[in-house]
Amino acid sequence: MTYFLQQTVNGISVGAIYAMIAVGYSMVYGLLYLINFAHGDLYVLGTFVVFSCMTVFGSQGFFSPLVSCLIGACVAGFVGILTERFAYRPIRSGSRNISMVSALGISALLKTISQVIWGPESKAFPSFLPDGKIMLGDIVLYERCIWVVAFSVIIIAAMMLIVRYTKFGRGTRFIMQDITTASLVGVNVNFVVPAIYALGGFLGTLGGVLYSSYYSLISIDIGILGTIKAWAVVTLGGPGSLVGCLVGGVILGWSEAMASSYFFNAARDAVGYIVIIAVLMIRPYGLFGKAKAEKV
Amino acid sequence: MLLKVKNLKVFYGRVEAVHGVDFHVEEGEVVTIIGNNGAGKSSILRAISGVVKGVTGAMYFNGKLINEMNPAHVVKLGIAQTPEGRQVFPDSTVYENLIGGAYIRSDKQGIKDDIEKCYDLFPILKVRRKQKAGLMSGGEQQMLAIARSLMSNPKLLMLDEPSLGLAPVVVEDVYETIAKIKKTGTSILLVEQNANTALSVADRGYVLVTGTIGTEGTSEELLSNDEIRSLYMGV
Ligand SMILES: Nc1ncnc2c1ncn2[C@@H]1O[C@H](COP(=O)(O)OP(=O)(O)O)[C@@H](O)[C@H]1O
Ligand SMILES: [Mg+2]
Repeated sequence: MTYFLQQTVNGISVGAIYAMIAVGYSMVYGLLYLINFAHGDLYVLGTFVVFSCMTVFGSQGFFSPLVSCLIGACVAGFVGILTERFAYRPIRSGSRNISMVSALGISALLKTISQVIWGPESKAFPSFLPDGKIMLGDIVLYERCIWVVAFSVIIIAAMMLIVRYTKFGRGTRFIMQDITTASLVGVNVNFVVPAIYALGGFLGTLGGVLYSSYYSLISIDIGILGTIKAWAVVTLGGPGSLVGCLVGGVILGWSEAMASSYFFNAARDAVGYIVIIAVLMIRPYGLFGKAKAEKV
Repeated sequence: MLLKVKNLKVFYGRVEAVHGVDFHVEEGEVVTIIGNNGAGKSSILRAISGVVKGVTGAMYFNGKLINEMNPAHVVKLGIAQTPEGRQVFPDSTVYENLIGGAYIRSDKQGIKDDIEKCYDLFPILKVRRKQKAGLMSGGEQQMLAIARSLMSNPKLLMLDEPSLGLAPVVVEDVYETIAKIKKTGTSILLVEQNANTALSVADRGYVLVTGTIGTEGTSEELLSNDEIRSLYMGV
């Protein structure tokens, strides 16, 4: 029982990180029905920028990691805007297949850039999450788990408030329902869509920093891993749903933890798919997704 | 002159769908463009709203050139389009749809008053205000789509086939409402296949045949034109 609870705690922490990484991917999919293959490469780029900033500014204390995170997240946000402007917007009215090819191209480009600058090998990431632990009976509760979960929940809750109560959020919800009709009521699509790309890069980078801090490791490979996990989370939770990100992330993280501790480590990546298939059989649009007419 | 369109051509890729049309709408007028399916009616409205790009010719609104303007800007200038096929936001409530129509506005009190005006004009929307728009009947959705356009306080309301797919009794309701909107002084550009009904409310009309305007005239003239009667009214 102790072991089960222990693994549950670990799983939830990792799941909260997945949720953060998935937010941008989910929003872009919800807005444009576009599978954004470049999402993972974008947040890795941002996370590497954070890594380099911390190498320069130091990783101790509170201020320097914070500034580093903001710089990295802003860089990723800005690259997100550029990507939207030059790779997606020109073909937005075209078929989704064309957009997907374009997304794959951007993915390869961003990955190459990161690889050239930071090299292909993985590096130790300075963890600035506190190291302490709290004992709850027999269960070890690492402080970093609490921080990671709290951080994700707060950020995603803030996003939910924005989507629910601001004009920008209203525009986002209208675009998700129909992009042309949204523009006909005066939603400035060419502001909202790039802003969502920017937010995706920004929040993705914060997720990437949590991930790298949690495992004390950064490598170029967390890019593709992030895209796959984001895809899994969004499929589970339902595209465009922020609650879906959080719940989907936690379910995925928890089932992976269970699989790797009760079966064997390699079962970890397979279990996600099994859970997805199970969920989709009951709810084809994900737990919090909405049925929506497919665009032709 | 409120709206003036000169030699407008609309393209989809290399295909020219509208071949240089001229028409205008005066302040306070209801003008209709009649044409069969595929004639290019929606393309004209989409060009004015700025949702199709790469058009040629000139479109003036209140004397201002609006070619290639982005759709939000066009709404701000005072042109609202109710697109064809009752495009409400289905997952949002009726109330949220109406608020959405006022997206470009920030005068809270004005928006509140206008919502009340909409409820007066479309009493059913008040009854349904908390319901998801996607769950309403076709006629109710059409009313909502029109009401939502009014919420931007337009000088020109463009209606794309408001009778499409509705039962005849419901069409009557919708057109009664359009007549009421006309009385408030809002100018209307009404696009229809249903010539009889459109001409019953319009002051003037144009007949669009595969991307070209053939006949034009007052509603009385068009209603008594034998060719039009046989082509569009099945008389
Ligand atoms: N998105 C589009 N891509 C390509 N062709 C289009 C598109 N929309 C309309 N068309 C073509 O343009 C012509 C006019 O269409 P439309 O303006 O929708 O006519 P109407 O509204 O009068 O039925 C038609 O031949 C139609 O096939
Ligand atoms: Mg049409």
